Amino acid sequence: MITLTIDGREIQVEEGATILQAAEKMGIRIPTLCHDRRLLPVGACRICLVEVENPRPGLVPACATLVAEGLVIKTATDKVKKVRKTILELLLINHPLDCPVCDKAGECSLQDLTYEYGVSENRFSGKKAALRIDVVSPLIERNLNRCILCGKCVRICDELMDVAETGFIGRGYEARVGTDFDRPLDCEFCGQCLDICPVGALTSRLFKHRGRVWELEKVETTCAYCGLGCAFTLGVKRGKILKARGADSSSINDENLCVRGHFGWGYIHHPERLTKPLLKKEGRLVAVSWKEALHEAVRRFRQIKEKVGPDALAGIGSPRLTNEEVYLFQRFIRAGLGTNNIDHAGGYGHAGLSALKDSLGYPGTVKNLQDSDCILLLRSDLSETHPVAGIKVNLAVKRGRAALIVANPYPIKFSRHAKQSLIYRPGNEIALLNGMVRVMIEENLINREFVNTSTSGFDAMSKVAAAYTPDKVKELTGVEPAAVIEAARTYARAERPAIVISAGYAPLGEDDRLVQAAINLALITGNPEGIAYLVERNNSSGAFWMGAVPSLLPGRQPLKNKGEFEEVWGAALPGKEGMSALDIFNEQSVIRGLYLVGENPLAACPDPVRTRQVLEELELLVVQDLFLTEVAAMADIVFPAAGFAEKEGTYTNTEGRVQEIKPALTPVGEARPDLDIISELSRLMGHEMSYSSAAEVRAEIKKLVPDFEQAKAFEGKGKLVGIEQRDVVEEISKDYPLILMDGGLRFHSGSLSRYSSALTGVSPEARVEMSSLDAKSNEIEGGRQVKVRSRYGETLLQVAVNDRLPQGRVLIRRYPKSGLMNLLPQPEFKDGRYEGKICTVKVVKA
Amino acid sequence: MFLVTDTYHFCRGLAQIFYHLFTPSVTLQYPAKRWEMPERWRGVVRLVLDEKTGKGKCVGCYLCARMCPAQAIEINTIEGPDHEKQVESFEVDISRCIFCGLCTEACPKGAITLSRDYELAVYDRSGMVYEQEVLQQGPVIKRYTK
Repeated sequence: MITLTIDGREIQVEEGATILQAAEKMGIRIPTLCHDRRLLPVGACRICLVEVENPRPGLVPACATLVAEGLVIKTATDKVKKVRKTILELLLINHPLDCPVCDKAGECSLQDLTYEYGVSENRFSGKKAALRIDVVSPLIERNLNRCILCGKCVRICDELMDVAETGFIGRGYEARVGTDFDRPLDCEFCGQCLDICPVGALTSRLFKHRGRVWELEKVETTCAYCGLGCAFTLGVKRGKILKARGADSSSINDENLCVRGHFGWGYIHHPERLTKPLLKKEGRLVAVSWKEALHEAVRRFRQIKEKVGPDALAGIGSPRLTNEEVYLFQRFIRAGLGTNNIDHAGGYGHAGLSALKDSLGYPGTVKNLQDSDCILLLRSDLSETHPVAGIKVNLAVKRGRAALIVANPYPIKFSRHAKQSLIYRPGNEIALLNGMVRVMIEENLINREFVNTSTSGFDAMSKVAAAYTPDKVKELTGVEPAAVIEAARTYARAERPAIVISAGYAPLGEDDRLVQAAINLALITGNPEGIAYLVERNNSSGAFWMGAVPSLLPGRQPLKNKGEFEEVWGAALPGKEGMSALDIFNEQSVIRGLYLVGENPLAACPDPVRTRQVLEELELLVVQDLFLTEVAAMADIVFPAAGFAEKEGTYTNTEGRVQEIKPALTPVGEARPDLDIISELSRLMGHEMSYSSAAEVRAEIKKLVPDFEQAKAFEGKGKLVGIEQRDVVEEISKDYPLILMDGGLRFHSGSLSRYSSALTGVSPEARVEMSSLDAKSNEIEGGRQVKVRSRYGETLLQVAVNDRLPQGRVLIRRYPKSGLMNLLPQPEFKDGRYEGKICTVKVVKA
Repeated sequence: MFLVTDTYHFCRGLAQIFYHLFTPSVTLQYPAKRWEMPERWRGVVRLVLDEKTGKGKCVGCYLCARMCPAQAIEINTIEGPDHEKQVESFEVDISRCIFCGLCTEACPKGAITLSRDYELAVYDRSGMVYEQEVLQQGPVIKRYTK
């Protein structure tokens, strides 16, 4: 600890803190322009100059000067004020005074400081900058005339996002921030530079000239795209969202946001939003009143229930719903309809979470990532799937000098910073992990004490792992033995290693096995806090926890514990395990009536042809959604639902953190929050539900599920389970020579993003990526249309040829309408679980 | 005694009446005649046109709306065809306006002033909301004629 004096008051701060941090701790404000908490200090703008009295008098920049013992500092002497005022005058020489039309006015640091220091006239004069305004770049408008060269945008783009899209060009008076050859921006469009720009040089095109900052009603809520659940603030003007910015430094995102968070909310205002309930009359969907639609749904649910029985009915929810909605939905299906046929998102979204809960006792954590000294990115293309978690990895690697091991079937953005990049054959992650476990046991790199005290099943697990010799691992994964050994050593020798896995990119039914294999690795080295399992959707974690699963009640309680629920709900519950989504769309499906809430099985389940067939054969299909999706167009009854900014409730993020969403808008047209629709439907169905708010539902959930807020840390007991590598790749033959990999895409997530014009505007066209060697041998030219054909179907895509992709593999990212689902095989039912496969394809000229 | 004082006051009153009978009246025979308002009169809001271009001077900075203590001003701006800021609508709810003139003081462009118009009565409440064009041209006042 170091003791120093600021403005006559003594304070103790840790060594390595800056004067600015010390002052902040005391509540003393020092103005800054080029400083941001998240960035390394540079001391470029000099506005934070403070006066040092002792030991050596003079002016120093507070943001870039470390504290020292016995420093005596004054932050607001006349001299300091005079200097700051002069700096502002110098900045204002060429800063245009177009505040009346500048979209930053109202939250502009330069404007605020100019006012604060009373710079009403300027002693200096010079030429105002007259650079061309960049009106071409999508989403981000750059008006460099307003730039004060603080460099924050350049630094956040490089330090946090690792994109380095812009840099300083020119010197002295000519200096400006620009791209190479002044081309328009072609970056990740994360929008971080917009938030951090202290002046109006970078502004959002979505907000441009549409209002002023002070007019906006600010609603702090939670982003509804990926499972991280970033806190952000929506700026709402007259019932329209105009702006979003990262909020809450205590949240997972630490004020950062990705492109989806910054710009992706536009679907809420899409003109195609459903505004009225629809009912199919004579083969056409026509708008009807709520009363008619609800009564018709109830009448036909009843009809099927009486004619065939409750097990001919089913409900599929969505991980996009709030906890309260999922809870009521499953309560309606179970108690209202009387069946356990309930599922969400293709049925296996929760598998990995289940493994974490069983073997680790908590759902993993992201917060330790930044402080890790070794990160194993396992099948996690973070810059595409969870860019905000990518920031943490990036900081750990570039700032914290963590060793990065990238294990992915294709090279990713992080590969260039990786100590080791292990490119394995798709689907063989488990072999790789087992190989690493074996090396650790062999070389005695494991934490024996931890294994003995806090885990069980070590012997059985090590027996399984023992078979994975480096040579066998090489045979399965194609990774060199030396590389596996080195990776194992790096991981085991690190003090705080972390493993990152993103959910939903393994073949169906593999996620839980992969997570368990990773848990084995983490536990034998004694690092139970170093696992981050990143789920795909905003409430994947909550939907699973709230019981939208055929075999589990809320709080992951088995069906045999139904007594307590029966008591609270006042209805008898079915005891028979229900059907999962895959059962529902199976050939032998017995479902007659289906209630879909926010889910589109045509886009989420493999083999859309068969799914469509099952849907067509249904007697009753009720769809509740924001848009008339392909499946809603087939429905008999459609209920218009409210979006994330139009309702209240909570989402549970990937770490099990329960976060609130708040209504910023009133629902469009006659659309209603899912909570209202479900409880109304249930009431008409004869199962009484009356809640005046989501908080009431939450209170009921808390009563039934004591650990609604899941455990946040390892609780001292872990399970080791040996996992064998399954053969998941289809046979590679002359007809189907290429392995198909699916990858994430930062601009899209599920089906809502395609209604966001901002995201579709910057996302490239759906395409298949292949290596230049494969392209050559198949005589395919980049940019052309090709047919990707598997044993199950085909899709027409543009081809992108690059040199980075390994030979023998093609990559299709999850663009909307990529046709990826056409190619995938229907999973096989084996030993009580569905097992999917990675398919092989052929690419031919279209 | 009472009689004397009562008679005195009665006569004084009569004197007043007769005095006013022969002096010119202060009230104006509105609407047959109208007051000419002094120059600094704070009447209804007017948007100023640029003499050269003939277009409104307003750049859509919203400062008047921000300053307005009665929240009478509502502005909407959009991005124009040349990426400039364009005022899409500018509405003043004259039934809320308190004629304080703070909007004119806030305006950085001198685009808003208070005119000398004072006849604002309408039959319909909705007529109290003046749109951009009305504010630029001045309200059309239906005048009483014999």
